[in-house]
Amino acid sequence: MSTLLRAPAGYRADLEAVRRRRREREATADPASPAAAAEVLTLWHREVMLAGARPEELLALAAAVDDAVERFPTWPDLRLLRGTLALAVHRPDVAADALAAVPALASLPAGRVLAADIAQFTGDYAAARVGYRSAAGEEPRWDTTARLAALAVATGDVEAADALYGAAEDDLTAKQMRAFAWIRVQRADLAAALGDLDRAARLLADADRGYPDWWYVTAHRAALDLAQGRWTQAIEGYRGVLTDVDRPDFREALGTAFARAGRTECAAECHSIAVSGYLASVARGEAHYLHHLAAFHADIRPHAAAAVAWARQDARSRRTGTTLSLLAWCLYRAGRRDEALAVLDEAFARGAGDPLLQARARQIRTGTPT
Amino acid sequence: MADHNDPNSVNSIFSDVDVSAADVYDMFGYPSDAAEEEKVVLALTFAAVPEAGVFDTDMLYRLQVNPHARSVRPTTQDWSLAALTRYFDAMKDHYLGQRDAAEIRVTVDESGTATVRFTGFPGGDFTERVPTNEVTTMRSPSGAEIAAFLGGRDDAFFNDLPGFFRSINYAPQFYAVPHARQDVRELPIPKTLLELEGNTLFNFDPANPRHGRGVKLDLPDGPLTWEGDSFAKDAAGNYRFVYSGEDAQAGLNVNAIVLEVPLAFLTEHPEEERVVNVWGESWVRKAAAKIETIPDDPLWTENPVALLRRRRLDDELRQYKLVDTVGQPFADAGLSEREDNRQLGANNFWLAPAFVRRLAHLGWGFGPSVTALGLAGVFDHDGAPVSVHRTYSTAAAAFPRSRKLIFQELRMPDDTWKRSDVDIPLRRPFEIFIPNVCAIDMDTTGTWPFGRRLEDQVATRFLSMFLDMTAPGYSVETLNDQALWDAAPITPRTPPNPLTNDKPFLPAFPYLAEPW
Repeated sequence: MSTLLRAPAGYRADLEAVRRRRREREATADPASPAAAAEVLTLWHREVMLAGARPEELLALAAAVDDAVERFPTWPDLRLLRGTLALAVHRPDVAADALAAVPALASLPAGRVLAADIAQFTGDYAAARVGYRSAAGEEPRWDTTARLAALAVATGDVEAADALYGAAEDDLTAKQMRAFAWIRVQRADLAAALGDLDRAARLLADADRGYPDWWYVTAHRAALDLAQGRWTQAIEGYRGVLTDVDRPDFREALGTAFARAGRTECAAECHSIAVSGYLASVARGEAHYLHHLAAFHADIRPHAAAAVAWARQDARSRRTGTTLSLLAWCLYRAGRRDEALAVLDEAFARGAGDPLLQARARQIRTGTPT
Repeated sequence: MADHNDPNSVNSIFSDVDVSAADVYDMFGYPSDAAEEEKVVLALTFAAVPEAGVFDTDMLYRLQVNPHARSVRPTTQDWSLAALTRYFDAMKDHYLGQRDAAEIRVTVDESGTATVRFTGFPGGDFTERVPTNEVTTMRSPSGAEIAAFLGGRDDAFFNDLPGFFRSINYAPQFYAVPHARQDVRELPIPKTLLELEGNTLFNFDPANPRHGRGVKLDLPDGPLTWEGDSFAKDAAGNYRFVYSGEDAQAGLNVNAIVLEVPLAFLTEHPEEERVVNVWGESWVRKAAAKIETIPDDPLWTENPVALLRRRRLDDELRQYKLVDTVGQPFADAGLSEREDNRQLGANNFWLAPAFVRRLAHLGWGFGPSVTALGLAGVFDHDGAPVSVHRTYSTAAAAFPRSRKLIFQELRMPDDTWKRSDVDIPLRRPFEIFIPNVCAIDMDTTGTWPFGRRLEDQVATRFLSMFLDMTAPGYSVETLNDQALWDAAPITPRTPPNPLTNDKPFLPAFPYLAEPW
């Protein structure tokens, strides 16, 4: 049943529009202008994120931003973009350097938000909360509210999280359907994590109607299908995602769907491609696929020692609920329950409390067989 | 699954900005010149998006109308902050009690058909669907005939907006300002009507004459301040005007809602309720209302604050988000500094302290300019020889400076603004801007500040507030007088803003000129 008042443009039209705009701006941009450089690079960033946020593209963009920063070191938008890119590839140290390079940013809402993003990424939840609230107080924005919601998820206050996502959504207009879909996806993930899969499905359906054809929604729908044992739908969903965004983590997910469906050969092929991608990234000195390797070797293709090693490496750069939860899980799967419990204690002591951490903690504490 | 699309990425990927069909420009309102029946002309103009004559179907425009008798105000003798506060309190009760009473809503569908809803008027609630870009007549349940035009028109605002922005050193008009630098808007340079010696950031540059008029430079690294101590003068000893008199809106279109409404439809007591307050609002459809979502949570569990706000709205408005308001010209650009959270329309009473502080701030800038030109200024600037950048943190500290400016009566050039023998007091700045409504006095022609007629040069009349209206011959039209500028030590010798619109207004409804 189509219930749209007017069909939103959707993902493909949006992506094409961003690409066209970037090309136009690139063609006319004054090479001596920092504002023009920042505009082109921001459009590029939007295009990369919209097209799948593939790490290699993010890194290529980061290199271009570095070039621009060299030419225009005091232009704050370039530094903010650099910081955002650094976080996307799990480099909070680079993000912090970018922020520190323009001291005035620390007192401005955009700078406070990036500082809070870094704090959240590195597990300093209290500082993140203060930063987001301070920025929101000065410049209320839906995306700052959404960040507070994500922080509430990370710290285990799921009721507040959904309320905050609701507040962020209430601030969005019909001109922001992509953002609307994104929030519905976050709410769906939260519902699924709390066990309400029907609600998650409804929220994802809303997201898809509001902003059609977005691989991001499809990927989450496929993950939900996987959780619900709907293997065929999950396979179909991930195949669709991969036609738009060929990323190792989606290959892995497709492989897992194949495996659950009993198609072991297809599963093995997908998993091999995924792991190759992860390892190639690590070989380049990148950090963003470490947690995928750890989780893969903990649950998909068990290799306890490898899982613990990758999880430890990931937790070395950021000790958050996410990384510590995974490390504890890998340790537990390796039969090292006492160490796992100690890591859990650290996670909770830091204020973490997301639903996955809670679920793993229950299982580890009770000693439930994995 | 970590999806590399987490909230850290939100800022860039999702920073879509509302299109500007929500940008309401002007609220015109005046007694109709039609003789057969007492009527009011109301015209709300807004950005021509997607294009002139085509309305954005996600928008809802709302005109709120509140007729009442003339208000009792502080006497001409009582010029105290306490008197001002008492007045605002009384007006606040008046408005907040009635502000939901009567309104006109307009939405337009994809076929270009408008739905116009009148609610809360004594003449009866009714809804009509009318075509856009045509003059139509709607008939109320009480039989009142209301002329309507909803469509594209020439922009009726004629104004040297870049000149105004130069006067307040508004960086985004002249420079590409980094998005992160929300602090770089009005730079901490004295506001002024005359260029400041050495103000290289904003002074007219003969080598780049369109700077600020379409040409933007990158914001320089250097200090964004001014350290001089005099106004700039040329070799002939003339000051340089920050205004050019050019019409920055020439050749531009708007979309407009124009109505001509019998007064007897708006009020049961047209003989007594002689002031019709009107203000306009733009609302954008909320994202969730764009699709028919399945509500699975009572709102109180999601967002109790939003619920409280929504409970004051009806079913239709709950589907929309208020974006912009317009009542008085320059209430936003001049006094509220365009802050999003100050889009309060008539309910702008809490801005009263900011209004007092802002006028004092502007006075320190414009006051010395007025004096330098040999004009009588109203602002007490202690004889400062050049404009001063001074801000206030409290209304109490600012009030002694701005008191006379706030309370002085704005004189009219002659008596042609009166349409009857009724004794109508001249208006004073505090009652013009708070509440932020277009207050149409039916016993006048509706020329500003007794309403707003299309032909009023309101930007220049706004500046006249800084003149001493007790000086012989001074009025709201003084700065529109070419003879004054011909004799002034200034270049260019022009009134600040154009005296007429780029296209003549029409003698008959809908009065606004055809679009370009």
